[in-house]
Amino acid sequence: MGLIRRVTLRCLCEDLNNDWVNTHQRREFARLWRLAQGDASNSELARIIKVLPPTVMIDHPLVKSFRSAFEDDAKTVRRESISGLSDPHFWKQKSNRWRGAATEAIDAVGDGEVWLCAGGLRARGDNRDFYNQFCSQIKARGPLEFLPTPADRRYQEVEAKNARKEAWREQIQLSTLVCLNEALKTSEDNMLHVPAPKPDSEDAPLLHVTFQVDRVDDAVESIIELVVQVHVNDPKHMNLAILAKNYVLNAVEPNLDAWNLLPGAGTDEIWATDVTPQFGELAASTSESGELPDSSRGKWAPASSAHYSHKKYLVEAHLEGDPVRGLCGKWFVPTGNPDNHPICPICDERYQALP
Amino acid sequence: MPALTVSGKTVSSENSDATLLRNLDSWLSGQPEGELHDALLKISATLHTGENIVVASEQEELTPSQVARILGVSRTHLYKVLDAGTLPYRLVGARDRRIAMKDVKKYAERTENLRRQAAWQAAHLDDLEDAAIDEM
Repeated sequence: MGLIRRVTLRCLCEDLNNDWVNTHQRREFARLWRLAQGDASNSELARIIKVLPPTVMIDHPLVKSFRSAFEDDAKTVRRESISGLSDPHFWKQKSNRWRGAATEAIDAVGDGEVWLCAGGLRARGDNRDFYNQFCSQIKARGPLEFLPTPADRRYQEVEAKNARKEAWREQIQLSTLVCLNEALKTSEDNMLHVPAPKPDSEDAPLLHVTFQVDRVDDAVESIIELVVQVHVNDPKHMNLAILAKNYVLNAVEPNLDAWNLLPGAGTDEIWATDVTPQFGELAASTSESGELPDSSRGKWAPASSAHYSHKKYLVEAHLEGDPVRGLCGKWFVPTGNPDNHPICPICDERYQALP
Repeated sequence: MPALTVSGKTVSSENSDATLLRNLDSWLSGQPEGELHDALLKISATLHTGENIVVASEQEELTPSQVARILGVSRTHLYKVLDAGTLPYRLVGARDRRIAMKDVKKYAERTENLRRQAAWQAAHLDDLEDAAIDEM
């Protein structure tokens, strides 16, 4: 397996003070570094991290050369050690005008990781030369200030949590389709117990979800109605439980307007939607392949129709991100530009009938 | 008297119901204000938007079909709620069910709140995904 390649936040923010292709990214990394050293919560870091590339993918000449020097199949790349430094050992990194130092020493960065720890401009022969300065700083003060800090490790940890959350989402959406396929085939109720994301999944399940399929045959067509009962089993992890519920529902039908909701016992929710034959086929093929279709990303489809509501409420709700009730009775959160969408037919009819 | 359902659709076109509604509107505008006046205005305004109206006293009982129409759901969906015991009902004969108007009213309010909350969650999934990191 290849090495995990990372750049320290200090190196990114202090050493690479020029030649960024995307200066907005540079500012965001500076913000991340500041927050990761302070007492910001993991969720605050996650909010910044999710719009940033992994450090090794940053568009900067030195990072690019570091990236290719330690690629999985880069065994043939000739690497040069920084002479005179052995505790830890550092590799030279070079681009046109940049020089840098990277280490994969287990004592310094752990097993299976390589870190770009410092960088500077090339100035050969001069005492401003990067390697001269780097060596004398390490000899004088030791290597610690260049190695990954707790802030770097926190950043890495939040990234890992994000990745675990993604894997957890895929697992939920896949299980949903498998359960539903089973319920459609047998016409019997099927239950899904949604665990918390690993490694806490030993805990009691977050959610119990029951799928019930009802076939309503009339003279013209046969409609399959799906009723999904959601019971929150672990109210200590409310945000995770709400996420899990949304993933289950939008794996089945990504258009929120196509769902109807009624309250059940306690905080239970009872959702219902019509299932199309196409969806039945999708559930069947997904169960067989064990792979989620590309369309499943855990997101709700953007609103496909625009609703009418009272103007006074709309302006306020748009600013606050609050839901308003449309004339059709559906609740929706107004977005900036409803003009792109066709108007909800029920809303339109009722709007036209207004005195 | 059993509960009455007036469909908003029949009123929205040009017919005798529409004329009646217009007459009601102009008559109401000359009447003294008060609770009953407000209620009649509300009936008129609701019919104008094309929504259905169910007229029933608080003591009265509705059929599952009427309740399903009020809540905007299918009967299958409503039966799940009745089976779960969330909305109380009374058996009439072997299997017909009746639901008290006062229970429907309470349940409809709960439903609106829950739907509002669900719409908020669906629109703020990104924020919830970030917040969930602190629970991991």
